[in-house]
Amino acid sequence: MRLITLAGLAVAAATIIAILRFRRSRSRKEDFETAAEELPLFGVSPEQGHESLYRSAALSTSVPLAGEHSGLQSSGTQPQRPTAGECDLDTEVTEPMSVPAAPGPHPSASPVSTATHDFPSLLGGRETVVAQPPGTIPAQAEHDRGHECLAAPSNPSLETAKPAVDDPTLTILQEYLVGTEPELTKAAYDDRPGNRPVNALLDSPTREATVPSASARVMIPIHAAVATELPPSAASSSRMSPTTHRSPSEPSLRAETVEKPSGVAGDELSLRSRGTESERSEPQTSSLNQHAALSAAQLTTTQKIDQPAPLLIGAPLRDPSTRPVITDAQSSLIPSEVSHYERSEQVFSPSLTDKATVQSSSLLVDREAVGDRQDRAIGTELQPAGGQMEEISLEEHPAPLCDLPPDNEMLQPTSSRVSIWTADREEPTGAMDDQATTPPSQGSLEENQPEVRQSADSKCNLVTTPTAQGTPTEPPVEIPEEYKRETPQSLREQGDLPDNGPAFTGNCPSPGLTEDLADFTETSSAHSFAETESEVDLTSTDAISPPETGELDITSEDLANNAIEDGIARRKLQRPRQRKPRPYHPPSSTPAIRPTKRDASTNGAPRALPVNVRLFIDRDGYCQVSLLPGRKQDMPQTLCAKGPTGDEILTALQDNWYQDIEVQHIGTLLKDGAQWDVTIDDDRTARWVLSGRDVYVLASHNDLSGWVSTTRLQLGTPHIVLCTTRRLDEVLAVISDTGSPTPTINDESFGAPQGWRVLQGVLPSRPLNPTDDNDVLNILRPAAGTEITLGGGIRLEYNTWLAGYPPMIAVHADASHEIRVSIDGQPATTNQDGSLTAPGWDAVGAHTVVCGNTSRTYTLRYAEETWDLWDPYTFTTPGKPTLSCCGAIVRQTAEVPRPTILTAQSNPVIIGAIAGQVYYARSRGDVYGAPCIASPSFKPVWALPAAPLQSKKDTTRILQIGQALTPRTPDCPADRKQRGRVLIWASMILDAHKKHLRVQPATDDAQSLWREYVLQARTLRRLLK
Amino acid sequence: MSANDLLLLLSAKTKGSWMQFRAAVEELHLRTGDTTAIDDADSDELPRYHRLRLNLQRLAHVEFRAKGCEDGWRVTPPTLALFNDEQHTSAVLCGARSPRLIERLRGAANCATTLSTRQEDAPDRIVIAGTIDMIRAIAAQASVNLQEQAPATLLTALPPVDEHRPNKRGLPVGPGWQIDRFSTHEARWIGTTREQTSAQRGLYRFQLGFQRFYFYCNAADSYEIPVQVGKYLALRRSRKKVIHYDQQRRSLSVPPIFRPPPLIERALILCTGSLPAYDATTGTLVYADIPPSVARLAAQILRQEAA
Repeated sequence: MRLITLAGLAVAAATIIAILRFRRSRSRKEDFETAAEELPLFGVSPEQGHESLYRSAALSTSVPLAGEHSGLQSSGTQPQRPTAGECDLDTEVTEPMSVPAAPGPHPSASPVSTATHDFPSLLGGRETVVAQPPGTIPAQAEHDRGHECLAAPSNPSLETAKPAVDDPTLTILQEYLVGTEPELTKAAYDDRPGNRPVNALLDSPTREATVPSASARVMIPIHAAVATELPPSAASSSRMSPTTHRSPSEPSLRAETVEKPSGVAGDELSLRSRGTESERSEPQTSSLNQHAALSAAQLTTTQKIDQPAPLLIGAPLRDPSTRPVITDAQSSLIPSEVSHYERSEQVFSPSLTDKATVQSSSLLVDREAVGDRQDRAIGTELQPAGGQMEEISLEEHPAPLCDLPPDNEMLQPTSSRVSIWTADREEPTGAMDDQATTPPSQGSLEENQPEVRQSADSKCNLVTTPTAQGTPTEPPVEIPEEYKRETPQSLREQGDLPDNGPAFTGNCPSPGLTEDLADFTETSSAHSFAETESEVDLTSTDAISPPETGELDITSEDLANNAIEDGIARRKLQRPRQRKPRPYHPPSSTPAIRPTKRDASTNGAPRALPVNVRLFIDRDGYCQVSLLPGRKQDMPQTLCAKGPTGDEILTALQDNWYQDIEVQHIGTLLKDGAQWDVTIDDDRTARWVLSGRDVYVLASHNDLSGWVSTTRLQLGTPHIVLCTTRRLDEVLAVISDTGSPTPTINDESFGAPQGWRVLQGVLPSRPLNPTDDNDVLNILRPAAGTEITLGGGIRLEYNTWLAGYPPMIAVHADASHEIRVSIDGQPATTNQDGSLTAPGWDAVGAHTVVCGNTSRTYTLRYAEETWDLWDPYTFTTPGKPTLSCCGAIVRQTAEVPRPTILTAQSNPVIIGAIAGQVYYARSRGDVYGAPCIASPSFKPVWALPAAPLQSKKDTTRILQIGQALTPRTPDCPADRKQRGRVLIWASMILDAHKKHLRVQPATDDAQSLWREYVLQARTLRRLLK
Repeated sequence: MSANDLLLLLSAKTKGSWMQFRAAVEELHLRTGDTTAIDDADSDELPRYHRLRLNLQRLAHVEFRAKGCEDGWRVTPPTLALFNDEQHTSAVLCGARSPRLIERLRGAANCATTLSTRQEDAPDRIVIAGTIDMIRAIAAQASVNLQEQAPATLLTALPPVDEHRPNKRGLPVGPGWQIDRFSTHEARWIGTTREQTSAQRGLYRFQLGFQRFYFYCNAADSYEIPVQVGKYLALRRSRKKVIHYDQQRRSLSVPPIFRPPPLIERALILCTGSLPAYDATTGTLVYADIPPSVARLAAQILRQEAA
């Protein structure tokens, strides 16, 4: 039979190895890559985040086993590299999770004893059970996985630390089969740089997100153990514990745990979590959890043997009635450790709270063996970091907390001391007994119960644990209320933990976790971002501050005054849970991500844009009311918004405004309000909201013409009031109280909206106190105070006006008070139009207007006259120079632009003053009689016919087209080419003179100038010939 | 506030976007609800900012949506557009203005006649009358550009309408387009169908909401073309004359719907610096004081014969 069993195990192991290898190859890489890229914990998608984080958490929960016990105890022990066993063990453990667990309680289950006792029987075909903490039930696995996922950071270093062996499952199975124990050292995980303890929570989301590496910390449920040390034997046993290879029919610890009654603590969920996890090819995590469970179990056993330790491991889980009565000294241990550990961590370990703090109401025992966290409960080396932490030995608490089977005798712990924090409060022992076993409520999130949250999410259902063998479901696990209430969330609700403290790692995936992961997967919304923002506070100050509710006050007081009394703890436990679990808040060490999240959330859920009311009054006094939607500068210039009147095309008016919307039934919209929505693109929407009311106050606007709605009446400023006919009398009464002259009332015949009246000429002069109620007429009651306004003029910038066009200075204040206004220290005088001036008020420079306690400055300056020519329009004709037009200027486009002149089509030759300056203007052939446009590089003087000798004498003229410049010879007698130009220049002049063409204009000056040119031409031609 | 302030503001800012122009119009409270100006007869009343934009462009003060200011506007440098003929010589101040520039110009033109006339929806018309040499001196003293014979020079630089090189472009697709065809005989837009665009040569307008596109279509191709150029192309094809020139009055008149293209109209306006007036009796736009040479040249560029 043994051979058969061994053979069967081998086959099963091979199958499992193959499956795990396949799964791991698919999941590990991307998970760890994601973890490496993102901040430690939550930079993964909700789907893969669980597994990757879970895997990381598993690493962080490594329990010191054989050979590392001393290292665990010694804070100065050098960390060791992880071995294969660290990863393999859980793999091995998870596979047997497929064994269906028998429903219902298992009265004889003794996880610790079974774990430590039955392992040797594995090879012998005897019943083998998974060594795990007492009270572990399959459902706990899911739970553990959940909080591990959240608790442990995904550290890229883990990628190098973990795969010490290609397939841990294979390794562990091989070790099982060959009888060797993989060396699973907790300290190995501490070997990584930046390793920090991560407080993995048992049943609540962890806030940890920034721990750079996984830390070897035991995440033992609150009822599991306060184990800080594990004897080598226990460690070895725990490693062997994954020998859950047995037939489904065989009773197993898993089955036992499943069968366990309601007395299930958070750790009970770990095993089931492992089972689920194993299906997700995450054996390492499970194994490490299993290590923790084993360690706790072993420690419990040890304690049970040597000195009763304050561990709530076995008995309560099996039977609430057998739950040990915790004495005052005992009762304080576990919960006090939890609370103090967390508190101490928050208070005295800022680094931890800042980055890696994971809060839990579960029992958190820092198993970090590395010296960098010596200030916390690390094995037996408890080094308080200045906080009220004391080292409590298990020996001091002899009361047994659980029933241990005799098999536990094989576990001989080398040390049973447990380091915990000073207890401010007590474990509610009595309350636990009173707790009734209640079935898990499906989907009840308000209760913050692990099983509830678990049930709420189909991914990790407490009552359904798919197994590798295809076992579909397991019966629901009944968890006693006392254990439920001892969950971190319950403690938080009770005030034991800060309400806004680190988010608890709930069941995987808890709603909070889902949200948290969603936040980091850029599917954030404004809500998620807000949560992210609040996280900063949580990790800094709020995390250590009590909750704001009265519950915390009571709890704090209780804790301070009656730390050991059970009744207080009971009361705390029995408090109704009203708060919903706060979703996870990502840590504050991700500033680089937040802007993106902010943008994304902002784009996704933008704030509503305003819709102002604008009114125009034409020359005949006819009113035109329209709606003016606001605009952001990054919004498109054209939008099609859906509103109450259908689609409205919004065209940009300015950077901050869209063009007016003119609707027919605007009176209804003004009264009832309206909303317009538009989808800009895939991830951006916009919304405009017009708040309906009975009264609108309109005034002039600095950037908009007409009358634009404003907040309220302002003293000394003309307004237009738009009110409904129903409240016309009230409005008139209030306006009258302001000292305003009686306004002109315009009805529908003058363009007022239907059911509305337009009151023109409202000019309040007296301030009015607003009524206490939220009466809309308060906007008609101007506030007292003085305001200096600068209007009119030509404003170049915010406070800068164009010199010569200064602003009109006005002061609006209560007319009943005397007002003294000065401009640049000079008393201001009031003009007829109400503006204020003073000597030098309109000079170039800065000026200051002072009125009482109010002042305002403005600057006058000249504009820079930098207007350059450019080529807005160009005209290209083949064979001709390209011309451009800029305003009234036409020029030839070239490297050096030339001005253009016109010449008659009969006189296309342009002559300059310097000999050799000749330009031939080509006429356009497409327009008959059109003049020739020329752009010579010199100043033209004369325009001659192209062939003077062949021109008609009576009609052809010598045209003076430029300034009367005397002819000159070139400065340098030039080369041959220049000599030819001079000859042409002289020949053209002499030919025109020879033809006896008349000069135009026929003035003496023109005639004499022409003669000078003729003389110059003759001289040059003689010289050149 | 008036268009003068608007031009001063634009000149101070030199250039900007269309939104900024509209904001400037709004800030200067130029909108009064008056929509009496007449624009394209087939179109509705143009908003004031559009009228201001068109007038600033016609008067050569500002260029809109041209090269160098594709998405907005840019002020042209201050220029004296000189115009001289047998009867008189004058120069119109175009382009940017500033208080100091105006002061310099007035100081330099103390010996000349400076005329400033208000115009509706346009900056004041500033004209300096004198001799050519005097104007040249004023321009040099005031540090402004001078364009001699500006109207004729501009017209000479422009190609005829039938030599316009339109962009070959496909017709808009999709539902919702309102398609009209320009009828030269009725001088208005007539609704048509998409199929007609390929069946009948002519000028078509595709309108969807505020968007308007103009295409000159023949049997095979369609070309996107400026609407006024397209109209005169259609007129040329139908051999219809719409331009009338009165030599005695030296005025050139056209129906409003046949307003010349912007640059040609700018050339006509630069003869006097005045915007065309609408003659209600004849229902035409009248460009006053246009010399025959300029009128003839403009008509030829438009492929019209000034009747």
